[in-house]
Amino acid sequence: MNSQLKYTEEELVSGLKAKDKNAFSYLYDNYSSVLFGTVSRIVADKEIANDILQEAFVRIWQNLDKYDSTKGRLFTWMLNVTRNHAIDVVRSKGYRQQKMILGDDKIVYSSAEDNSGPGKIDNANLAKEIRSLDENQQRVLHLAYFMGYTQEEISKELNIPLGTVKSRVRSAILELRKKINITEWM
Amino acid sequence: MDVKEVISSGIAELYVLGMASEAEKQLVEKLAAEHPEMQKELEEIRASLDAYGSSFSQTPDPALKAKIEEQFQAYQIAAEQTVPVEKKEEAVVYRMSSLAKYTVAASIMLLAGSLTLNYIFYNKYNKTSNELASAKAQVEEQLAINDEMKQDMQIISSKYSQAVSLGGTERFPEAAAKVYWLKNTGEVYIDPSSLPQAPSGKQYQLWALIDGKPFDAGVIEKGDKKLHIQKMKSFGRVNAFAITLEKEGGSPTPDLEQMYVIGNL
Repeated sequence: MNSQLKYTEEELVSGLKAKDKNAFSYLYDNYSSVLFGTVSRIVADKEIANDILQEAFVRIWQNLDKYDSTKGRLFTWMLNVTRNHAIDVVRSKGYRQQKMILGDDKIVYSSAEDNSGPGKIDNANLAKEIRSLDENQQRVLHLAYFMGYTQEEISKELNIPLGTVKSRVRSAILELRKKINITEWM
Repeated sequence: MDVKEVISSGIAELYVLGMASEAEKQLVEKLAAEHPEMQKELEEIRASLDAYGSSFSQTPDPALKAKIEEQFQAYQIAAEQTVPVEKKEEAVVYRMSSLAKYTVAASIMLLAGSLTLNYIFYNKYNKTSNELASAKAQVEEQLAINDEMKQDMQIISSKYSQAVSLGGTERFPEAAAKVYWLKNTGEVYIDPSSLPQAPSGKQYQLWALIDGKPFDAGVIEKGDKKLHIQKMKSFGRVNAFAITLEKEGGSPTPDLEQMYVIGNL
């Protein structure tokens, strides 16, 4: 990673739009670990996960014109592009067939396996904190955030009433906010 | 509903997660435009979810960056080839015969058509080669699985192989496992696919019981390769096999409370 060169989000976006190689390199170095972590939460197979990340970066690169900075941060937008692509793959027929051969992979409540990548925050402490969330809250966050489930799908998957989904999502995120405040002081 | 009510209802969270209904979405956007309080709430939810996502960071394949950069370069070359050259200087007008005009018009159309086709074919080629690569990867994966299964079959069907069914104990009646013991070499293989998933921090451990004493036969690998049978420690003579759930990495002596399955030879 070239740490000498720092971009603001605005510079990064205009650099990427101008197809500047250094801007892409910076983007990749700073965000690939987070995005790959996201893909890996959705797809267990490392090789497929790498393929998905590659395609996600292509989409980010090609659709940058559609990114609207007034609607949110670049990071959030990239995360959405990546996550949506991963979910599309997981829900595709080919993937499901393959998964049936390989057996079901269960959601594992382990967190970041490696924190060596340059993340936005020091996530070793936060990962530990998140692992200490109660299991129901972890499940609901996983399904809503990584798997892109709707309220109805979560209600079915976790066998809880629709109204409970809303309150559980809220309590999970409140807990998350508390934990983040804690780790910021650590 | 006022801002406070909306905030405490959980709608803001659903909105950020993209799970809100159309009506809820409009409500949140309206309130956010009018109340900084709502905006701040959304910001904080967004930041906490960003942090949540970041906390699962993992490093991708180190070769991936170069691969993507190569792909971009190919796209760019394709794009540059189709960009029309801008005219800057005032062109001198020559008179042409009408035949020449048609010829020129036709060649321009052919050229434009050919460039468009170039672009389309290039994109198709890229897409196809990507698809081919992923199909290849899938085939290789299947071949590897086949190989593993072949090896498993050789062990199971060996004439020296003695299969031992391990049945669930009173506490875990649903559990089961199978051991293959090769009489000629003493090798021990385990098929753990009917054991429940080991919880995190725990691992199954196989024990060989010889004259009433348990001997460590190795811990059973965790993970998704459950179809695969696994080689354990070898024993020349065994009376029974049993499996207990132990802390990760195994224990020197079995925790009999956590015995899942047992089976005599």
